[in-house]
Amino acid sequence: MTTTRVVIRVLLAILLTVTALSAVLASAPRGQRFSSGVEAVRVDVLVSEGGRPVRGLTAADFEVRDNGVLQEVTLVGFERALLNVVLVVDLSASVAGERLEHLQHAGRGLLARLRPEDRAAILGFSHVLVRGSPLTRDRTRLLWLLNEARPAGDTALVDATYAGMMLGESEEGRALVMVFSDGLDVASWLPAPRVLEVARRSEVVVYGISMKGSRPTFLEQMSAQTGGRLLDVDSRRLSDTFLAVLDEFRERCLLSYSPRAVPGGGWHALDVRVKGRQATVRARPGYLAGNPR
Amino acid sequence: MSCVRRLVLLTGTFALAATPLPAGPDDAREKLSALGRWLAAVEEHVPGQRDAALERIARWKNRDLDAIASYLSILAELLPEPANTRIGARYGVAEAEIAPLREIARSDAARGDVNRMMKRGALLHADIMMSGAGAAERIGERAARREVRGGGRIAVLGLDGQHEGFALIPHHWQIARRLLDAVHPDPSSDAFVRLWYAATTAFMLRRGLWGDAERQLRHARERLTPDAGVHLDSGCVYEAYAMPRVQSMIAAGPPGVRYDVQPLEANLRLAEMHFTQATVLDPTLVEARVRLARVRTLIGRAAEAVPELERASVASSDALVRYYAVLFLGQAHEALGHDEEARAAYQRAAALYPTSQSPHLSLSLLAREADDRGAAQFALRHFLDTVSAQPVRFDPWWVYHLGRGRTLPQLLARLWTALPPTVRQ
Repeated sequence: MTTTRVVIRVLLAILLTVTALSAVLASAPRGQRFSSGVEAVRVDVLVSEGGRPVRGLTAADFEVRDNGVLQEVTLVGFERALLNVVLVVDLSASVAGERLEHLQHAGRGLLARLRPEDRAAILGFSHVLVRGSPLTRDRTRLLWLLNEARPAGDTALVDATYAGMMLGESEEGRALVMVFSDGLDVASWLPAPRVLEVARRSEVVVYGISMKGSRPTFLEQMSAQTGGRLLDVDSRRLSDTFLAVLDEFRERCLLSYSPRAVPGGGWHALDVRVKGRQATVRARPGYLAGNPR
Repeated sequence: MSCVRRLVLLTGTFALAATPLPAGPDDAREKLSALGRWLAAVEEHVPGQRDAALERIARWKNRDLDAIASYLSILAELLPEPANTRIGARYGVAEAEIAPLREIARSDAARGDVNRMMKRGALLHADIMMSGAGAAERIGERAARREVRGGGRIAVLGLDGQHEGFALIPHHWQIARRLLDAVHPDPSSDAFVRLWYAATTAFMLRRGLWGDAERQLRHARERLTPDAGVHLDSGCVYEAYAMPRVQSMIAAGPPGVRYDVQPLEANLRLAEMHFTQATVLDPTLVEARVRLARVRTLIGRAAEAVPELERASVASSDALVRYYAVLFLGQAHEALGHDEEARAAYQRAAALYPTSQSPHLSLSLLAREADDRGAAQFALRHFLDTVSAQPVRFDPWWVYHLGRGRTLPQLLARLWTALPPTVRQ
């Protein structure tokens, strides 16, 4: 879900009806933007029942309240929209050995699962941030960082997550930032509260993947703020986890609305429900609007 | 990047009532024999070397070191006054046990340096710890609890902000400090003693042995004449205690462990107090001023920090300290809402160390917070495209937590060259 009001640039014919826009975007070729020419809020939503994603929902199935005020939403299907997947991987000293092998295997599996039109970037970090490549469709450029990784140093989780979010934010497509870390932040320069606040303004969805028992509060908060999830796994399950996150992300849909009858600035609490169903809805809890500085 | 696993050492206890262990058998002959072996090792050891003498004493357990501690106290009193006859009664020790110690004291007096044995002994124990030969012995939680029940404290180890285990605190540092306490006539202003404290504390800071450093600095503040360096190091320890590398570890620690670390705000106040003291004792110590200003920004007094950092950013002859000054100047301006000034400061920092990462992150964050996504991405991408591709990168922020541990090689070199000839041989 957006953390900010997005000024969406005109790209498609703005005279299309909302319904038609949804249909066009669902089949949009890569490079097209989600555009309407008006200020809009976007809410990335995962609806599930009994642990399985619910498909076939329409805008009429949703109730979205912005600071308690019911909004009129449109639904943007995403089955075929391009993804920007940013894999942020901890390469600090504690990852050395078997854990690195599991990570490399999982990373290769994730890249293989992407569709040709999807773009990906990899950011490695210890206390040092190292980008494997910018968002690209060239998988070989992405693999070198994983293949050449030599874990060493401290963990700057907050710095790396921020950089991952910035890499993922793009005019095109939807951004999934997957942050893997086996430790807690010990070396970041950026303050965690400010990075969390930026997350409330961003459209990216962050999924945290941590090692069992590490209790990474920051990643937990970041995942919750962005409507993602924190998964606590054994490193032997990394491959399955990476793929499960990607598959889950593809099942999400995007709601969009132009806020009505709510003041512009500050924190907007969001309440997203599916009418008439006992479904679980995962979406960001709200968004920040206006310039905080 | 170093490949060393960066362990952090704090000290602590469990929430248990202390029940002192029963004292061991008082075998004077065995203790005297141990003292003899210790004295031989002290004579044989070449300062700064990991030699056979060092290895022999490094294998001693804490109880072995404790066994000779009372004799070392007697020796310390005899060195300046070998003929002292009151000492046996005071320590409850028979003259037969004291005689060998009296002989050593006479021999050193004849060499013209009554402190020789004390200083060589302190060097031996420091070398044991700094060479890695005397690293803290890992113990399980049950043994750690047993140690605490006996009235002791334990080392709590962390890695990557997470609990890594427990260890016994070796008594080598304690013995070394005790030996230096006995330096005659007054250790508090002895140049060698002060250098020993500076160098060994730098080692502790460099290795993240915060618990050891805090105990050592507390001792130094009690025993040495007021020293700006000691207060700078003390402030660094409390500043580190307030950083995520320690706070994360405490938050993730096992239940029941009581760390010898105060809450974050209290640590910042302690850091401020010691940095202030350091600047009073030595107004030219720019690093203390910079650190003081950073701490003041963190406790909400950024307006006081700005002029201090402005001055420091041009006053220091050390490029690292100038970098810290402008980096923290950016932070202070941000806290005051002066975004333009903050941006300028971060740009200065980036220019001082072109491969640094922190100023670029701040420039990006500033732009993103102002909802200028393009500028935020440009700042970050520019950094990632240019700097992150460099084979050798250095951001002084990465070593800020080391304090004077950054200058350990220089301090050790000064210590070795300052050894009096009588101590060196």
